[in-house]
Amino acid sequence: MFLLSAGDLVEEGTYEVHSRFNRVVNFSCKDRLATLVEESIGPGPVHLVMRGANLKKVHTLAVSATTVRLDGISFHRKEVRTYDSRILLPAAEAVVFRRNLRIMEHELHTQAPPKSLAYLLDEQRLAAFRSGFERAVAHHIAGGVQLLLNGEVKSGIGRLSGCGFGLTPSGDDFIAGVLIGLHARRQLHGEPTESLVSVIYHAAGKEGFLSRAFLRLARLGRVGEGMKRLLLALGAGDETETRDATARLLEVGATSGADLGTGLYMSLKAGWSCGVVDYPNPKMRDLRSVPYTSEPLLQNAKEEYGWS
Amino acid sequence: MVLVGEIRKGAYFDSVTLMTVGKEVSATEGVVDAAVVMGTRENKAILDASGLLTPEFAEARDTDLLIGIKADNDAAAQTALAGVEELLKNARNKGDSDEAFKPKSLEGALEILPEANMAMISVAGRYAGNEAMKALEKGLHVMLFSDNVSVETEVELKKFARDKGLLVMGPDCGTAIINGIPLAFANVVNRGDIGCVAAAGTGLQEVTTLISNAGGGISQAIGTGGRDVKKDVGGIMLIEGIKALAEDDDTKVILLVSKPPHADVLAKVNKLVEGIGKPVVSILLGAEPTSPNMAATLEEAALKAVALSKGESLESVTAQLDAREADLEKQAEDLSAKRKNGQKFVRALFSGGTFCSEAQLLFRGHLSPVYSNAPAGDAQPLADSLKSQAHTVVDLGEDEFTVGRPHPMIDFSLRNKRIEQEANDPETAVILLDVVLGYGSNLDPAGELRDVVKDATGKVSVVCSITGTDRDPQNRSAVEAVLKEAGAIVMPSNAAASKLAAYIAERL
Repeated sequence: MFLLSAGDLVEEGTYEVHSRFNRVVNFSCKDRLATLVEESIGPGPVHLVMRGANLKKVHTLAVSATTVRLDGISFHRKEVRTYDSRILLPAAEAVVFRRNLRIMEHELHTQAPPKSLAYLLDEQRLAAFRSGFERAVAHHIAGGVQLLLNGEVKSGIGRLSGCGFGLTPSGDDFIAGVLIGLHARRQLHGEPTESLVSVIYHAAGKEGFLSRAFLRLARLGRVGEGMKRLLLALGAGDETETRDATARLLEVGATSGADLGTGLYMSLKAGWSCGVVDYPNPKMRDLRSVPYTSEPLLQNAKEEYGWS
Repeated sequence: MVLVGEIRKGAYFDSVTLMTVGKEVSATEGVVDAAVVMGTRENKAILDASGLLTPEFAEARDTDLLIGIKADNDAAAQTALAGVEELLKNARNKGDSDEAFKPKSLEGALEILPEANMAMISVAGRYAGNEAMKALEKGLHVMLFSDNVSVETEVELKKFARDKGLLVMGPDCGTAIINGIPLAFANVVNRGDIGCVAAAGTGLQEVTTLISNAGGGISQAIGTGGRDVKKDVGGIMLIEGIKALAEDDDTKVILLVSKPPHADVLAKVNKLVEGIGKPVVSILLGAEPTSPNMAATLEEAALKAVALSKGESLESVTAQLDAREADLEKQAEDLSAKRKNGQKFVRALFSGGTFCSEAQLLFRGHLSPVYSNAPAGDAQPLADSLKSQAHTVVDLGEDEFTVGRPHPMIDFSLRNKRIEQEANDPETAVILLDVVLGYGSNLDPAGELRDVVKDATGKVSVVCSITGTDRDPQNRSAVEAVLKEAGAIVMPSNAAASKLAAYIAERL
């Protein structure tokens, strides 16, 4: 087997298997995350990209300053490519960015998996949520997003944190997408979004080892190669590059990619609508400008579940 | 109302698995609602609001998987809980299987197979054009199986492809053989030096299998989609296909298969063919052959291509087919003698559209009137596709038969019912059938036809052709043996079968 690359935020430690999927094995060492992935997943801040490894049978991982040791096999870090996970984007040309954002929206509308958060952009997708509980989750998330849009960051993020299905709940993926979008806006448009990033991150719950780790990375503006390609495409790419990169994002996880993409899109769209703003107040005034289609959802949630 | 809950410590699944399990359990009889989620604070709040929070859940942690079921009674709840166990176990086993990753996008697929140079597209027509263009932009040839693609999109794709030196086979292209690999509905044939370009899917299957069965072989078989030769599209891919075969070192003889193209297209093709330097045989169904290299039937075209490939004369083919005419007439004489008074009509039931056309063209001058749901030649439109009228030729692959059901090459049930219906009609003398083998087609045609053919041959003559080779999954010889045993008269080609059917009816 070969270790093709190691993310720049893979930390030293002796790790244990946290969770195992077909193409991914998550390892934990206290609060540190390192993830073994197949090539098809690609590099990321804490990814160790493997070729020829049977991920169903890997059990131990130890990382030092100089080596990565997997089930007794050592790889020297100097000989392995280090993936730079920082978001480094040139300033975007407004016309190009707007066109590409529309393309991303179209791809989310048409290609996102049925039970992802893309219903926040297209209410017709709510039809995929059939059972009473599924609809309740959908409404709950919609309610949280609406609170966010109304400037009630803590309440909105609090409602989204840990909400939804999967080992990394959909709400957490959405928040990660929002954080990445805020980082991108700073670089693409020069918006001072740092304080907002901090507010959102601290408002997010701290449940779930993986969610905590992903949110930490998103707060730092550290992303995988696929996300980086999308951000570059949005800022300066052509239509094909944008479509391709969005399609790749949508392949991540079962719905995680689409949920992340929805959060990213809504965050970027807000920035586009408002232009550069001065934020003396950490309230999210900017996201209020996003035309939000799910007003009926929030009303529904209020009626059905008595939420305020 | 009963509420039961279970906590699975440390269990984890992806979101779609959990939602799918929840949905399936919710659909169980007696279950009012169900949830399978991680025990985060917010999820517990929603469980509470939904009436699915059990007292035990309050202490659950975010690393715990919670299963909550609300049911009409305890028995239903316990059954549902057992169902969840089974579903999660299956999901886990599926995750543990060695099944390779299946990408969901072209980009994902190319990451796994970067050396791919062709994409085969079979999605709903309204999305197909977009996907085809994506593939072309990445430098891939395209086989477009999808139909319901607009002619404007087809032209745009083909012009773009032409400029990039790529092929677009389709839309509605169901057959191709590229580098010896059968694609979609296609057959296992010999490799050789005859290259085919066809705007007729079943026509391409017929010629490639006849070539193979006659000892020849196929270098490439390129489909263009039926609309390519019409004026709007202008024969773009027919021409590009011919050029590609002209430049291909492995191709010594080129065979073109089509219905008569638009005059402009024909002129372009003729001009191109003049300068190629390789022999070109063509079958333009419905057009009178005007040169020795043109054929009147698919069979004749295939045999001529083989003759040229072997360095034999075209006249030998003509002589062979002329000699067979006498045999067909004799056979028709014998078979017509077995028919009763009143039996006089041919009822042809085809799964291949090209065969339907070829049969009608061959019936000209022999049978009248002829009705069809896909009329060609002198045939008139059939008023009701489900009810035969005089001599009738039915294309069971037409829309009225295939909406909401599999194609008749795959699902024989509709045709079998029709065979029975026609056999019981006192005016039916001959039932004419095509049996198309190969990938994509019904895997047990002999088994599915045997009984209905046996019943029918007690009343009428059943004449059929088998399109395929012995190397096809169904094995042509094995199918032939079963059908002959059932009493069918098996002919070597659709042309031969159609002629025999016509000659029998002529004598009644």
